[in-house]
Amino acid sequence: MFAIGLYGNQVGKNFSNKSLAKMSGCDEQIECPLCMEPLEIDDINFFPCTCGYQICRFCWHRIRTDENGLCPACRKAYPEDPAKFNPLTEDELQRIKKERRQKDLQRKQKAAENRKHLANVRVVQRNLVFVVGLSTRLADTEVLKKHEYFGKFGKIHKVVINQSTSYAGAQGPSASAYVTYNKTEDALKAITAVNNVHIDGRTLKASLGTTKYCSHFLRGTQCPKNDCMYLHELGEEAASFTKEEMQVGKHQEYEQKLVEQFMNSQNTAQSQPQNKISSRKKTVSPVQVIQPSGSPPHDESHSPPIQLSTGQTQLIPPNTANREAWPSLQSSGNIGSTGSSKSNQTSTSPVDRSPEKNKTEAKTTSTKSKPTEPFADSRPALTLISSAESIPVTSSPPRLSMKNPEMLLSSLGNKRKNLGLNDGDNLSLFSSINGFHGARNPKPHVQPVVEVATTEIPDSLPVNTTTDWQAAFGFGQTQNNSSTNNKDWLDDDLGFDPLEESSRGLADLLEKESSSKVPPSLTPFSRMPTFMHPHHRSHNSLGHNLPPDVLSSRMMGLMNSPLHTNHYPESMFTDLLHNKEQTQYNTNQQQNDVFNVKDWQDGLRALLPNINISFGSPHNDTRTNSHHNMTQKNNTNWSSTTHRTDQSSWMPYDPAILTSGNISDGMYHPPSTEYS
Amino acid sequence: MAATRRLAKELADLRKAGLKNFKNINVDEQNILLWQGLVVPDCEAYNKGAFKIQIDFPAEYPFKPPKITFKTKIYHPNIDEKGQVCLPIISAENWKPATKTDQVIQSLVALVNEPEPEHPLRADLAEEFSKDRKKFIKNAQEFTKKHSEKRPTD
Repeated sequence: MFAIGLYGNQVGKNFSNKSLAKMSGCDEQIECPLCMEPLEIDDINFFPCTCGYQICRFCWHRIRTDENGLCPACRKAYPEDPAKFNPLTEDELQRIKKERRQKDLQRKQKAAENRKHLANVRVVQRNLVFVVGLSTRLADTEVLKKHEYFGKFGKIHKVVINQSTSYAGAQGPSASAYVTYNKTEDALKAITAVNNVHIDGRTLKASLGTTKYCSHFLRGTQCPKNDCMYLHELGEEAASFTKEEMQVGKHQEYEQKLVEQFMNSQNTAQSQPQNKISSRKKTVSPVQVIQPSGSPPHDESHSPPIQLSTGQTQLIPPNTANREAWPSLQSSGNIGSTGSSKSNQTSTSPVDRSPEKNKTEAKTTSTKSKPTEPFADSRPALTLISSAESIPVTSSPPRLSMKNPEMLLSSLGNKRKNLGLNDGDNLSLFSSINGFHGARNPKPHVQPVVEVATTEIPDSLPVNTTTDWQAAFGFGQTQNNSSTNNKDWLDDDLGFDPLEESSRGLADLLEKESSSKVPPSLTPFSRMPTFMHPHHRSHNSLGHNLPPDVLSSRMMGLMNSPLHTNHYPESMFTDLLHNKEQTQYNTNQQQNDVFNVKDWQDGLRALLPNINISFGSPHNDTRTNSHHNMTQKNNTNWSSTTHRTDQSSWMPYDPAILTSGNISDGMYHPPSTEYS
Repeated sequence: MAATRRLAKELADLRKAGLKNFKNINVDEQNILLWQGLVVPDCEAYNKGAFKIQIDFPAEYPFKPPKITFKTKIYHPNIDEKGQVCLPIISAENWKPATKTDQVIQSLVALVNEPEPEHPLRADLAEEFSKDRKKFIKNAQEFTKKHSEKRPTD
């Protein structure tokens, strides 16, 4: 190349040639070879040295004032005036400017075309939580940021409230919010904990939010907003969904996956027995659970009992962390009063209310009813789970019961699994986040609703056989609780709207029974198995380990021990009892269940005067007409239909679907997530 | 700063060009004025090793020339024990802002491959190089074996 001792001219000439070539090419902007800045328009014809080496006037000035004043290429001293400088005429200037503008325009158009299809795409944001059902009290950025609310799950980057109540649904006016967390785990945490929580008489729905592309990005222009929350770069392919895909629920599947992953990681971290996780919402509907029970009862049986227990578990939260977590939960008693709340709910609401209003009150009621009341038992069940491992003797039975649900789950279809998984997830989540009770609290509220559906069945059954329905009820519930302790946890986090689902499911069941004269024995059986099977299973498993006599005796011994210290024995005992009773019920009662609801109501009211109890005709109240039609049509195909109906009901309220095209770039983000 | 912009461009061009005699270009992200690289000579005396160099660009670059120092010891008439090089193209009096770093490196590699005993930094080696080329090459090879870096595989 260049000999070492050789200075200059060659090099200089090379450079000047290069720059000249560039100029003639004229395609791209010419740069000053020294500072590499693009030459100004009026620099293009500026050649300070006779060698023709072109530099910008900035560098030229610098060389002449600060440096040695030599041409950077040929090292000749620069003359006072540039060797060659033809200032552009006005016409040339205009022409050049015009060309540049055109080029710019073309480039932008190209970019816009490439991005056109993205206008219909929404990208699931892993750190964005979309919440619906906020009361006006909560619909405040600062309130939601508080530690009692979304602040406790992690650091929040931004909260955007949409005061529009257009898609509040049947819950009455409620706002929605987008909560952006700094960490994705925090968002998932928040979703699992907040979804389906009842607060201020509304059911919160939480899911991962989606974001659309910023219109400026789509046009290929710079976004002028500093803190624009829309997307300005291509999102992850897997997280991008077109509206059509979203209507099908693809983005929910994606969210489920994320939640599962999150739960798995949580579970492994905590080494919890339950490894199963699943998305909460869609698949888990009480209806589904019940339905399968008609033919293969085993699996299904678990879910309902679980729900029952969960409802009861709610009692505990008020005492512990629940209040802290969601102070508004205390007011959840309103649930029953909320717009189209289902009659089923009422049964659950009492549970919530009593603890919330007065801890003492709840306690008293529970203690009073200890032998007969399910609520009292529920506590032991919870404690069982948490402490099961520590106490070997007592733990063995509960463990067995726990195992059963898992096995059942495994045998269940995917949907079922999801249910079970969800529960497990919730458990791990909650325990990790708030500790047991606190974490679960939010969900339990939902569960009570589910409970209703399940409880009704057992309730009716015992009534027929035994005149003392209270006792029967209590037993049945307690048994359910104890047997399904583990499950309860799992079901806590069901992603669906328990109120709707349960009511609908109930309605469907009732309809089926009344309208299609199914062999009377069938329906009760189908329901019964839910209760029965877990017990049987547990019983059998126990039997393997110990002779039944030993077991029972042991159980009795446990019973004798003070309830406060050890709750297990009671629950266990009730379980055993329940099994026997249940079998009796099965044989004796078959059809009466549904029609005894009224009796139940009265009885419950008598028992819990403070609570507003009503089981009456849940089906009609709860559903909208469309729901009703849908469900009726698809009665045979409940699980799938329920899901769909939910979507359909929701969609009209989903602004993303309705108005996504029209949404301005303002703060308001269209809620593109749907709830099933 | 003119230096930053120009150096970024030169660095990108250099890496893109992939010189066979100058590899492993390493630039501190915090300070683009400091480059390091590996000179891989072809000539008989040094072709068994590689030599690490450092290029210091002044903030006034390209109006002021960069400095080059050898970080690896080399048995060479034009490179002293401290690693200083006498490279005319980057001497203050000869420096031309139009000169690009790849030209500087090319001239450096050329100097390494073909020592210039007329402008020695180490007179003894220059003398040996001029009078007993075989001995010089042998010494250089031994020295290279002992002190030089491993040559990059590709």
